[in-house]
Amino acid sequence: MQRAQADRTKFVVSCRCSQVLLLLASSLWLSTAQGQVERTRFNGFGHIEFSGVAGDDPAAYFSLGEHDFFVTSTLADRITFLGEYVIRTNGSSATNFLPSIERSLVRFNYTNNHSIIVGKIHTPVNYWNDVYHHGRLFFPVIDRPFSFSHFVPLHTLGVQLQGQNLGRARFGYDVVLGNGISSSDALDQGLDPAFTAAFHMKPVEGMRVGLSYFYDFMSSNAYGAHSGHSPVPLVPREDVYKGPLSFHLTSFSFAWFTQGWELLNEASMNVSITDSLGAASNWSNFTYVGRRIGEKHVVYGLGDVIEVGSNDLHVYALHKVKLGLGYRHEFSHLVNIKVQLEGQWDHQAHQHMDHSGHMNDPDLGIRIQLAYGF
Amino acid sequence: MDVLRTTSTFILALLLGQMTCAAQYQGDRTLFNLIGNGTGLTQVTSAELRATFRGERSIWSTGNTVIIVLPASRVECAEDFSQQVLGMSRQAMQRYWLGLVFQGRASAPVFVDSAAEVLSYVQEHPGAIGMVPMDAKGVPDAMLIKLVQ
Repeated sequence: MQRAQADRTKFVVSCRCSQVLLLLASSLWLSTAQGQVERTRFNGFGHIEFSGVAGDDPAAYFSLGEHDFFVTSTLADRITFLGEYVIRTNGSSATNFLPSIERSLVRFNYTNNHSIIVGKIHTPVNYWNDVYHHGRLFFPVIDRPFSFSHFVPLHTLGVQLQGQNLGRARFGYDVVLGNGISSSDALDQGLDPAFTAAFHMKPVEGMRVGLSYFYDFMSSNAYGAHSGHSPVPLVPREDVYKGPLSFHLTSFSFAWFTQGWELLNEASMNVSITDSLGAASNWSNFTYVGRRIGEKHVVYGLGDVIEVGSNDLHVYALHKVKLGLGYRHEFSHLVNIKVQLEGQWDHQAHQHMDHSGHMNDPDLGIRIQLAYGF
Repeated sequence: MDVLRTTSTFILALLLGQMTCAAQYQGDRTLFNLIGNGTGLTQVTSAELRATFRGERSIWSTGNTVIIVLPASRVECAEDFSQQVLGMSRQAMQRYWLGLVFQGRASAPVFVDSAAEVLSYVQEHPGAIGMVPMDAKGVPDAMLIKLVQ
């Protein structure tokens, strides 16, 4: 009797499984059959720069910037691929160039404006990292904010849940779980994936307000393929702390791009915790204000500051300020030139500095960047 | 003649207190008809129209993936289209879409070289939506989508 009931239960479960499989198969078939359009698109982005620096070690030189090969493709109905491959100059490479996969992801848009993404992404911690990526053509100024050199975990390799343009306020969310700061594209240490939760809304056309939180625990402090950042240059690599470290990053972004004014503010608060020196509180803020004059001309100002505590063992003590004034000329949506006058003051760990705590003399310079896409 | 008919429809709608017109978007120069295939839309508000052409929707209620069809920059009416529908210049529209695709937050729109190509692309691809000048010939009534203000 019991055996018969068990068999019946097995049969019912089996039938239900078959029904679910049938439903899944038919929905997949339907989804493939409904208007599948195979489209593959290639774009390229690159930039060339000229820098002139005054001061004790004056220099004037040209540099070939990152060159970015960008591919998008529709693989099946609702399933798309995006790849971003960059070649950049690198002194340690035999050819002086180094290729890298910056993004490589497959997106399944399972329902209107909600997607699941698998692959290597730009961690959506702030507006800049979510919107501009490696395309200097899109940058409003010449450089990324300082926080990208020291705090921002540029990439994550993992799974992302994404929603966007939801409701009247065009609310959006991004939740990511994946390989963190110290990992490579093939391996992560331990069982502690990095976690990102980011939310934004676009209440007015051209405006985006966002808040995010990123957490990663590194059993051994390191700067892997996904960090995109490093400790201050004056700390020798062999002296860098290699013990466990908890990394918290909270970011707030405000972007408002109209046909007249352009405003972008990126604020980050970073806490790194080690057993030896406790919690180090660090912060940074980048502000860009631009005024568009007509279709092609933008004049702008920028301010960037980063402050890293003396007990920080991930970035190491740092205080850096940059102020700049610039002009951007957009020949078309595919090519622009930026001319930027800037002054930079800094004070790093391990630096032979003025013990009164003053920062070094400023580095004053001019930079010109020609950015293009096709 | 079509222009006169459209204008009269607008005036009539205004008089009735509800600005409804038959499947067109009116500007100073080129007038456009909104056309779609398998979108499930019979009418849209101007806000919905703008949101759609800004890539803020990915799947129609019919289950079809949204495919935006836009006039390429060399098409004569491209400037009128971007000004009227998106409230921005042609260059700003191209910059906006290039940026959106680069972000990975929207699939690239299809740029075509003429109104006839807009029509044939939309006809052949379920989920496609585009706008054609009102004087474009051979637009089936079933593809027209009304604009309700």
